[in-house]
Amino acid sequence: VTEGEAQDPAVAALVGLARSLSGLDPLRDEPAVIFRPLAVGAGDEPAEPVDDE
Amino acid sequence: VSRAFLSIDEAAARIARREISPVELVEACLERITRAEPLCAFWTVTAEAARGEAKAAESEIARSGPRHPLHGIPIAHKDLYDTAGVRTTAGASFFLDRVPEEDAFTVAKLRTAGAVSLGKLAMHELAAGADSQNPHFPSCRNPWRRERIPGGSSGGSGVAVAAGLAFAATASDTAGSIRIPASLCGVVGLKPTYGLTSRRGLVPLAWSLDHAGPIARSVLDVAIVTEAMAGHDPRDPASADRPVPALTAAARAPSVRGLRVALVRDYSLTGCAPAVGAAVRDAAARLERLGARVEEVALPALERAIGVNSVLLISEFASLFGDRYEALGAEAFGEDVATLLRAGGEIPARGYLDAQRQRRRIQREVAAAMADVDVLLTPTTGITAPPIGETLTSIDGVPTPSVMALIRYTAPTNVFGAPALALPAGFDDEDLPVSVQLTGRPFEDATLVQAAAALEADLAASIELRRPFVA
Repeated sequence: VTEGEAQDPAVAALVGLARSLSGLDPLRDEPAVIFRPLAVGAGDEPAEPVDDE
Repeated sequence: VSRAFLSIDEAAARIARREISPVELVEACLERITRAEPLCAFWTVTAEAARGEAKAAESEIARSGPRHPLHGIPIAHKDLYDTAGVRTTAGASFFLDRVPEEDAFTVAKLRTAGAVSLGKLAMHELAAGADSQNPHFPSCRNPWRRERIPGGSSGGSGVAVAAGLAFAATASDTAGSIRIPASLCGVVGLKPTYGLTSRRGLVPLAWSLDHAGPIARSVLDVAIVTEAMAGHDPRDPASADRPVPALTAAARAPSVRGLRVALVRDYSLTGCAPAVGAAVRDAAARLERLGARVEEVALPALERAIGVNSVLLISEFASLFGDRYEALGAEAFGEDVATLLRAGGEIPARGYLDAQRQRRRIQREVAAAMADVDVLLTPTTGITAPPIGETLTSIDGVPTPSVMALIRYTAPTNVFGAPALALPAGFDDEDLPVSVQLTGRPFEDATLVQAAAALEADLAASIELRRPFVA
């Protein structure tokens, strides 16, 4: 438990929410936001939309 | 109908026939903005600039006709949309004197279409809340009952459109901030698919959840404005490089014939006030009568997505503004926003990544459930507008945080990026607006709009049209 959690129940509730995310499959559940390299000369434009499956 | 309450579609037709001038529309809105000052919807009114733009539009239209249905139509912007030369605060103490040099991508697109900007609208501090009660500005009030919240975070946008102060307003949505004020103010709000509208030039709240979209008084009007705002922007990394969907055409061809609509088991009709549940049941019956197939689906991912939204939102928010919090101290923020920044700073890296992993799983589950469903039907908000300052509400006798009752049905869609539309569906026994939400499949915004337009037309035939009283 962090200092912030110990001092503030509202903070503890929100951090507790993050700690409660469980049941993930190590081989299957990759993060929704993943890194994509930028080609040289592509400027700020990624190869495809970040969250577009 | 007062000029200020014309639909965009009707106003555009009259402008095209030279029956009404953009100058008259702008004056009608400015007069109402003055009368509605106690609602505190506007933070900045750019009256002289608006008159100048309207005059220019009038001349151009006289010469060569309107260039777009929005040409000469008065709109206003949420105060986190950058407007060149016009103060843009995002409702933050440290941005009170911020004047951007460039328009946001979407503001520029609306300007190109010919829309006239009336000014900047009230919002929750940094868009991080659902009641639009901002400690740095006067209290923004619901036009239907002034001691009630307008909803948020785009509260001024909801008020301005409902009270006839603007024909449409830009808004933004991270957990429901377009749809919640639309619901509580009795107007239409569309959160398009993530990536359809650029967020460049919007002060961000949480990059992976933020959406830009409009509030207006009809489905056709939000379709017109969304279509004008949409389009690929290489400088928003989340922007989708796809054709802009034909939303206006979809709204002009309302239909649900053959559409598969689903109520979500243990979700669509639970956790909401009786009047809201009744409106959802009524909408389901209407959709069935209009030719849709209405069924029930199990989608427990939606309940999980509420918490995932919160973890992602506060983590990204703390990454954005945690340094300001540390530099300026908690007293520079409202108490609620300070709590979110503090909590976001305490989330372990693993918590954020686990939330992004849960998000991918939720995306898969929603995609599987919606393989055979075109549209989900739920409430927009579980309650109608609560009193200003009320943090706890009661649903079926169960004490519930008001903010949870407000975001329960809206926050999940930001996690999987689907388009969602808030549609007015009558009034409760306190004469406050009730709203239902239709959620479509990602990038099928046109189908969503077409269905919403059909339901809207059916509701219009049996629900009396009301406008809030403005002094």
